Amino acid sequence: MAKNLKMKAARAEKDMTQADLAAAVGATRQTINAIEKGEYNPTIKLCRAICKALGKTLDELFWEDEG
Amino acid sequence: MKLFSWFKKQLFGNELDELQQQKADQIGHRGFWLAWVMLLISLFAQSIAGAPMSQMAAEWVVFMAMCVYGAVEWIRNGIWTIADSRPSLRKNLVWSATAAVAFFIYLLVRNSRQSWWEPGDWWGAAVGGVVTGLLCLGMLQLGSRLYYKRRRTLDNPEDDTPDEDTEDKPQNGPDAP
Repeated sequence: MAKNLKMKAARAEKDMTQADLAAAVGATRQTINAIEKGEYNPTIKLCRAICKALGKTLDELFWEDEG
Repeated sequence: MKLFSWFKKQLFGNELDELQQQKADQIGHRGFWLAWVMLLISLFAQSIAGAPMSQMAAEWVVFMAMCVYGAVEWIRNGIWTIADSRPSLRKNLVWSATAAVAFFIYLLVRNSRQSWWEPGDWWGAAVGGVVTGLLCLGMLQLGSRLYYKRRRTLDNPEDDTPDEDTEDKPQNGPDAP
């Protein structure tokens, strides 16, 4: 799975650490790190929570670019 | 694991879809706990009935293997329990006291089968209960320590790149090292 750089960039835009985002969505930092590294596929529920915390849409953070 | 997945595909054809895989995982999870509880009940019942250890040896080995596997894997993955991710001395004391009382009652029932509540039975059961409580507390405290150590490792992976959280990690508060 590819790394989720969009999520990482959105988090940096909000000046949030992985720990901050983890606390905001009710996950562990381990989980946030795994999502950004592309090592874990979050549920829709967690995706939506992350989008809400970062002020982005699902497409903006989790849509896979073709090619 | 890739080799295992390949064999699985060759033998069983199509893989399960997401929902089916989730259901299969749930079945495995419940099966583990069903087996664990039934083994515990079986050991308990045989012990109360006065069965010799040699009769219970096989169940005991399987039960202990499940306990060791569960404990090692849960701590290795940074999970304490399903209901609680923050073990503490207070909670461990409560659980140890519960185990002590449960074992006291078990010993009292088992030892007094023939003598029907002799004073010696009560003392023996009390000592057994106290020792059990202390052992439980020791194991829970050790387990908690290992759990928190593992959680720190999982939440702070070594291969973080420099622009990760180490630069803007706060000096105080819950994220401080």
